[in-house]
Amino acid sequence: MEERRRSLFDIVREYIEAFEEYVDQVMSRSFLERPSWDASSSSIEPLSNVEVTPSDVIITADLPFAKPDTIEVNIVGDNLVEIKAEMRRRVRFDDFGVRHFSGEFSRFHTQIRTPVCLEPRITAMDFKAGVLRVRIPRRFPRL
Amino acid sequence: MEPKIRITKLRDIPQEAVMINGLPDVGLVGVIALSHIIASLKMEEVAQIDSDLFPPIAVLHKGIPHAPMRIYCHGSLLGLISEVVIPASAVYPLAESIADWVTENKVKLVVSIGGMAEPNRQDIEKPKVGAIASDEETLKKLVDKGIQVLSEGYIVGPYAMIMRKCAEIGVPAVTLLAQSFFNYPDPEAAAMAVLELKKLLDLDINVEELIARGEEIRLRARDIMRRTQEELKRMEKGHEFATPPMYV
Repeated sequence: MEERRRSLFDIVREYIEAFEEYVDQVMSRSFLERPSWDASSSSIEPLSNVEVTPSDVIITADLPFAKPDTIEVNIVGDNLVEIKAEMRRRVRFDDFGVRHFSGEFSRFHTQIRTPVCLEPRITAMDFKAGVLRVRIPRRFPRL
Repeated sequence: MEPKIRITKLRDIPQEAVMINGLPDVGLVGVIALSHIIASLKMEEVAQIDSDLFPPIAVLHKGIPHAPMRIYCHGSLLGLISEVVIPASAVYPLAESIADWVTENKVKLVVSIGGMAEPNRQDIEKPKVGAIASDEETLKKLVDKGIQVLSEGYIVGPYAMIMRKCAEIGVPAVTLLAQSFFNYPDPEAAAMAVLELKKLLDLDINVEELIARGEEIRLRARDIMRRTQEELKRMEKGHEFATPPMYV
């Protein structure tokens, strides 16, 4: 069978895709190893999860000690959501028996990248049992 | 050939004991529940477990390094706990070694505590606990004690292999699974699992403190939860959401 000749565009696209995949791998490895706290901004990165449904993206974040009235969720990019919240009490490494780090934390802060594009609006948000749940519609390309 | 998993005895091990397992899993239910039991009963470390398959980690407690996977004891109760995630590659040899150790020390019952990921966990105030047993007789005991039995489905990970190994060697085994968050530490689910465990064993433990300290525990356990989540993906833990294809 005759193999279709690839165009220069195909070759460049494949090269870019392979490079992006490599960058993703390297970045995910380095993200895994960085601390989940930042003493300079007194912030802790919460655990979070992204679920993609056929129509929406549902983001959850575990925010123990968060003050409900301080929770802020902002869609800051096509596929980037920022979550911020103040904590009811300050937490120190000392509280966990850790003496070799110093720092005091009073807020949560994270930016969560979603695998699909988002509409710039939140359709539902609740905070129950210390877990934040946000529903954002997916944005589909116009045909 | 040297075994892949080494269990080193530090003190005498009681024979005919009941062993509780608390390994990192969904919602860290087992680790949180067993940590609470160990602290409540002031259990003492009697053995440590090490392997070239585990990450090269020592856990510091009060300035002294410990193996991250240890066995504790109080009377005729043993508790196997891990403070590090069990790599997917270590699951089979770990289950084999535990089965050998259980046989060698004539353990009479193995109870594993874990979580059962519930997508709507946030909307559930009081998580339910279900159980599975390694044999018909143990299953009947669970029913007699009013423990709900999970009859169909999949379990994935270390507990799945421990149950199968115990069934092979004829040691009664039970796994208690509490409805929990998949990737957030869940002290409430752990508390419910402990209450269910009390139906099975005569334990003087209350869970009020565990529930009261819930937020603090969730904050402390974030990092091990994050790493556990990565390993659970490798073990294809999502398989537990699947329905079994066989109906006979």
